[in-house]
Amino acid sequence: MFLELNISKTMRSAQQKFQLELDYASSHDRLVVLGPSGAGKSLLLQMIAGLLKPDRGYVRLAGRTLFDQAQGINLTPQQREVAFLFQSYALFPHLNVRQNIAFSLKRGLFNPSTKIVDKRVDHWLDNFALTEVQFQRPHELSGGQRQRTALARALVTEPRALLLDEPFSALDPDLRSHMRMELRALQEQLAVPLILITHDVEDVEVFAKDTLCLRSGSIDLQRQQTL
Amino acid sequence: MDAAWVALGLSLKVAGWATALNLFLGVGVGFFLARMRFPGRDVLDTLLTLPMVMPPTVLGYYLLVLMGRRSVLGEWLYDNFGIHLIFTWQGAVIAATVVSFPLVFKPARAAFEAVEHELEQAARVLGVSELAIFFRVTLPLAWRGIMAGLLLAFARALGEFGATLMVAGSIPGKTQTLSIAVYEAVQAGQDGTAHLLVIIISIVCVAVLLGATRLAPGRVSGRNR
Repeated sequence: MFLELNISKTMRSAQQKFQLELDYASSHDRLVVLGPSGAGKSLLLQMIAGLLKPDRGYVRLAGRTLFDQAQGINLTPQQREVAFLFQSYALFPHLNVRQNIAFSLKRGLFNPSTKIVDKRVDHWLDNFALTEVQFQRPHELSGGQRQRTALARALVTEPRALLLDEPFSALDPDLRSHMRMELRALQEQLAVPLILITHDVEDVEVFAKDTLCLRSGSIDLQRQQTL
Repeated sequence: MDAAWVALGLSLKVAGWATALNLFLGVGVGFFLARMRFPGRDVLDTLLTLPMVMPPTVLGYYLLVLMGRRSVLGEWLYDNFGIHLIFTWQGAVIAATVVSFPLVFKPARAAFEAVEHELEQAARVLGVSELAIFFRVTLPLAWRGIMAGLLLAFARALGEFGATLMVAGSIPGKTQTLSIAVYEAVQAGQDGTAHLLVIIISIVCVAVLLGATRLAPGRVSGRNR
């Protein structure tokens, strides 16, 4: 089983209360979570990554228990060894492309130097056609380059799974379909399990082996690819 | 005229130490207030801002009461370490630190609050430790705001008068800082000395302010190609 979830989370603000209740399992390595904004998709992804703690239940991913309230297990985001692609990419604005990609490879309290030497960084720069812009800062990049930098930064850690938060929403339509194909080919080549959340049905068509539809914090519909 | 340079040296020493202390205190407290949520946070922020609005003489009086040899703290410092702060340049450092502290922690707090939370989360998922995230992501992104605050605090410490006079007095060559020396010179009718002192301190203040303006957070970092 690739992903097993049984989580409950209540979010409260001054006027609103939002309840997320999910009991779900998927055995495929490409899961698309579909739903309108406010359905709880982002919360779900954050709970898998360890950025948000469920109130109770468990989260198991690729054979590891990441969270289990009953057993008192709650791995930190650092221990979960997953990669997270943020909707806005969350590139470090004070570091160049090369440093961004090398960020996780450098231990200690200092950032990698602007010209850090590392074969893995070179590999991803080459693979994603970023070599020419490697010394530029994120704000100087195009949308596609930004996304590829964020993806390279995530993949260089050799994650156990790749979590993507609306990865194509910030791109214009032409680039969007291009990047979709590129990411899908990459996923098959690396065989890295992928969980993608989106409100765009086209993402479902391109990526989904399993689809989970969320609406207001609970499962609306689930569909599995027939084996 | 040697006295003027001695006074300038003392002022720079006191302001330098006060700024160095505020680098740690102000950044620490600013980060704490920006990240921790607890009841009474706003009250604490207000209390810590008080030195900015209270008359320096009142502040000086509080410090005297707090650090004087008959106070609990003053007695403890003297009995255990032989330190006493009243009428020493170290006392002047304490006074300058307290007075300029809000100028550091306020902008530091704002700068830390302006750092996008998502960047820290991204670093977390990338497996980088919390301490390293502070030094590699949070601090570099907040640094300009903190530096601007530190420069203003330095200038404020340099011009400190009231609290310093109360706590450290005006001992020439020992605790008589530049701003106090100006007052003494005018009182004694030494116009020449007063002129020189005033010009020196004006030049230093203008230089510091120019530096602070260049660093102000309004000017976006790293965009000047």
